[in-house]
Amino acid sequence: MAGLQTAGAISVRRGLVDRGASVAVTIGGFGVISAILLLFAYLVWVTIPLFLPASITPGKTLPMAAQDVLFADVNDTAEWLLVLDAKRRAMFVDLATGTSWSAGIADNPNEQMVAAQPLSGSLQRYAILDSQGALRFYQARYPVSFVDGDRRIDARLAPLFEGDALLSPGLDVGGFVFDAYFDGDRLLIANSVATDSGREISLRRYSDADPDFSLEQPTQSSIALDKPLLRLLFGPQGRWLYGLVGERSDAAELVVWSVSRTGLTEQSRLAVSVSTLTSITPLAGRQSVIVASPGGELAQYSLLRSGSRFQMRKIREFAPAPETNIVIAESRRKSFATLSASGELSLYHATSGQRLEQLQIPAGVWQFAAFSPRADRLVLLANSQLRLLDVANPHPEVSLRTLWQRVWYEGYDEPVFTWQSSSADNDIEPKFSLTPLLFGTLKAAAYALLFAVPIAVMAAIYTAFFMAPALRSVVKPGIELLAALPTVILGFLAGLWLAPLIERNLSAVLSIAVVLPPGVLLLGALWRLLPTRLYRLARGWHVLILMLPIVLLVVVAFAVGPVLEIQFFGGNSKVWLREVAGLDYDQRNALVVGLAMGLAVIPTIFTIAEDAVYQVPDHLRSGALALGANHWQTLTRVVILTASPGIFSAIMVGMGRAVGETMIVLMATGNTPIMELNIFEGMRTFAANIAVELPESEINSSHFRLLFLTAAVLFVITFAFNTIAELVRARLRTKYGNL
Amino acid sequence: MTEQHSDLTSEEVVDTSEVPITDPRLRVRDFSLWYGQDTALRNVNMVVPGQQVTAFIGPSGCGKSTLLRCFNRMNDLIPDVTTAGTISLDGQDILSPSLDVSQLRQRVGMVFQRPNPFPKSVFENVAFGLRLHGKLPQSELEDRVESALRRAALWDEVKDRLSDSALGLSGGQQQRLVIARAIAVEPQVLLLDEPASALDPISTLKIEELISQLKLDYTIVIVTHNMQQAARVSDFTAFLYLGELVEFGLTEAVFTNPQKQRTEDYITGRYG
Repeated sequence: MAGLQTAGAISVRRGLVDRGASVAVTIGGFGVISAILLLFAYLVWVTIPLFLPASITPGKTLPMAAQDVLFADVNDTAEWLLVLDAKRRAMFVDLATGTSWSAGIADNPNEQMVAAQPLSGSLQRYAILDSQGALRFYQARYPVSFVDGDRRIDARLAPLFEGDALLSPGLDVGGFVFDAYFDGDRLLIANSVATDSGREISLRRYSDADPDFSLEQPTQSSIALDKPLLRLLFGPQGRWLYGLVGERSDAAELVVWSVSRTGLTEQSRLAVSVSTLTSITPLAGRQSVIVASPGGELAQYSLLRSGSRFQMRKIREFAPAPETNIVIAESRRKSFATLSASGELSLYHATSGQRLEQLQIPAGVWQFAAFSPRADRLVLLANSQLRLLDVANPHPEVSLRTLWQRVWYEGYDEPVFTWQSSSADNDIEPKFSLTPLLFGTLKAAAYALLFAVPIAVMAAIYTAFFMAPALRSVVKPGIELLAALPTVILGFLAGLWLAPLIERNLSAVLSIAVVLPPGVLLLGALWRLLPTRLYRLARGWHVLILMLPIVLLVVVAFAVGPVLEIQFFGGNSKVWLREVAGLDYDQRNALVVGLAMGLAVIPTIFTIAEDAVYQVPDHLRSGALALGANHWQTLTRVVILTASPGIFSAIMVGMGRAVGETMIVLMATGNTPIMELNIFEGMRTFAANIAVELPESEINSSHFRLLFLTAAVLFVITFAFNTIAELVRARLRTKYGNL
Repeated sequence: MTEQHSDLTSEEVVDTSEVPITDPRLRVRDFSLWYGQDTALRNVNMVVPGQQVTAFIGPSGCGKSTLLRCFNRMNDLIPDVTTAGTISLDGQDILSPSLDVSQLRQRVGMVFQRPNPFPKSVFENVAFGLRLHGKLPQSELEDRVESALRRAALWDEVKDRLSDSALGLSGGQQQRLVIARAIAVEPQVLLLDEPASALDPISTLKIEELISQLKLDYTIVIVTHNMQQAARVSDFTAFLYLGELVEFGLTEAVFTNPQKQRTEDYITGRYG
């Protein structure tokens, strides 16, 4: 009885332990799977907003009586609207309440203003032209103060330069065609001038134009014009001037002048291929303009270099926007909106070429329309109604097309794949093509595998099939230990030691590739000539004997390299590569990465492949040998075949590792996102790109989310490789059943 | 027990001269074999007759498989094996270091205890040995595969699935396939190392029928644990015990009238 009770207690405890263990294992397993799924879900979650459509929501409408509005602008926080009218009245409107007051700059309300526009090259600075030909400059300020804890903004408009307004004698006031550029230092004014002999463009240049000080005498120059000027626009950094010239607006030409100290030089002329021009609107940065016609044609023209000259070229057409009256450009990005008299509002993005949103709003005679600087609000004035629209368009530059296809960027002479997420100047559009990164990732992995797979697989076969057991028991753990080497060490050795070494001894390194394989094969052939006894004695230990000749062959290669270099490559193989083969040579290149990352993946591939070969059942080997097969035949016809699922998955796992590897590619590739197969040039991989750019990326910006997208893509790629490896292995396994 | 028999003197070595052998194929003379320091075979003398079935019986570890493996030098694969004495096949010394082992193994085929078809198709399994020594025209290859499969009594079962994986066959079929694979290269001697021990009774019966068929063309040496099988299929029987050949003679004689006490003890099941 007592014995039975004890047995019962034991079996209860056993049952508990058994159940506990299975619960723990289940929790562990599900924990791992859900951690991975959560990780992936988070990556996707961060990237989803990239692909959400833009939206425009009509907001409130405020009554506003304004006449002869010349110009209006919204402040940075989208709280205030500045309106300038022909009576030189400046008015601020609180967009929250609709209250307005005069900015109080009018010193003579009887003056007649004819044109006003923002100064290009700076924000919230404006140029106003009066009927007498005087051009005055103003700056809007929105200083914030706190009174009893309430935030107050005391908006005001102040003269930009001290003293009187600048007179512009000879201005062709009837045309009002002028543009002014100010970058905080240099003030440029271009305008059309009617002379006795015809027309010309006059350019004034103030070299040391400090705000709050009076303007000094300008340097003046002019250039004759054969046709009337319809519009003038300064280009980026005031280095170019664009002019639209023509007798009629349906036969207009776009002229590009370069601006220099000595004056204007005509660079090129292009007939604008729209039937009748409605408007020409510069995009942020003024590298390109949007040209619209009443027929709805909408095209982007960009300034680009063509040979030694600069010219405007049509780089993109957009989905048509009929009856367009106004094109409204954002001030910091390449988005723009079109508005027709009947109230059709469309939102576009230039780089992606997409129409992001279309909306019907009440029709009106539009007096002005403006985006807020952060592009989250659109302000329209028509029929004494100020209409506010809320715009949500956080990631217009990202679409599947811009990510994976060629895109024609501003300033480029053809569509390209480019990754350039940031630039010195916000006016330059970011270039988000994932193709060069995918290319770089696959290139790095391919060169690494090209080096690693033959070595690792052959080493695995040799170790498992030929090597003496005593030696194998040392070699296998030794190579497996290599996998524990931190890749950052491999990376910096590759970048700082190997890369310069290879660069200095390029010919020697290349001759290793030529000398070593045939040298080893030759040694093998000579080995066969040894007496049988000696031959047998060394069986399984050849690899040790081979060490010395390999070292000698490398020494020979280093000795022969310079000779070959002089004989065949004109004494400098890098120059030869560039001049004769047309290949560029970067110090940190795919060869260095292939070697270093190859070294990192060799242990992975070796271990799995070695296990696969070693586990080929002995009875299959015996079976083949008993039929009279020699070792080589047994190996090639039975062992490798039977081990092929394992060898295959070893390669795929190695590939997965090479694709995801970060430190080595980060330190040894140079990280240039180029698309060149050339082994002597670098690349940038997904993993390195994330490591390089994530720390300096603005949270929740398109760039930030894109980096998460690349992480998700990387995840998918490695997942795909491993899944394919597993599927193929499972298939091969059923085929070669008894493994 | 072990001590009792370990020091056999040379007088006790079985005398095979009495055995009526007309066509000696394999001749074993004063043959001993050591695995490192351990003696596996001691002073074995025997003759394997041609076109007959010779069975090696004896308890586990008696050296019967080791002796069998010497006939096609499969022991070469085991490190640290040393031998003394000679084994000759049709008068040629097969232990000579200069001998081409691959050729020997072609002449002396072997079938193992566990069916070991390669992970290839039925056809490729049988053609494997044929392909090792140069290229044959496809038609001749097909003829020889078919003929081997017919002689192994497998043709009718597999003729419609020659390109299917051999691993899909049953255990008995796999073993006959392996036999077909061995005889496809036309060996003179066929070594069978417990060929039916992993099989069910019906498959065993088929293999035994096959053996009696095959002895018309081949010299067969079979190692078996199953004494009834030895009695059923063999013409001659050798009883090995602790590395020594205790008794060798016509199967009928060994089983009905053993000359040695230990043979009688073994075949009557007193040990083993």
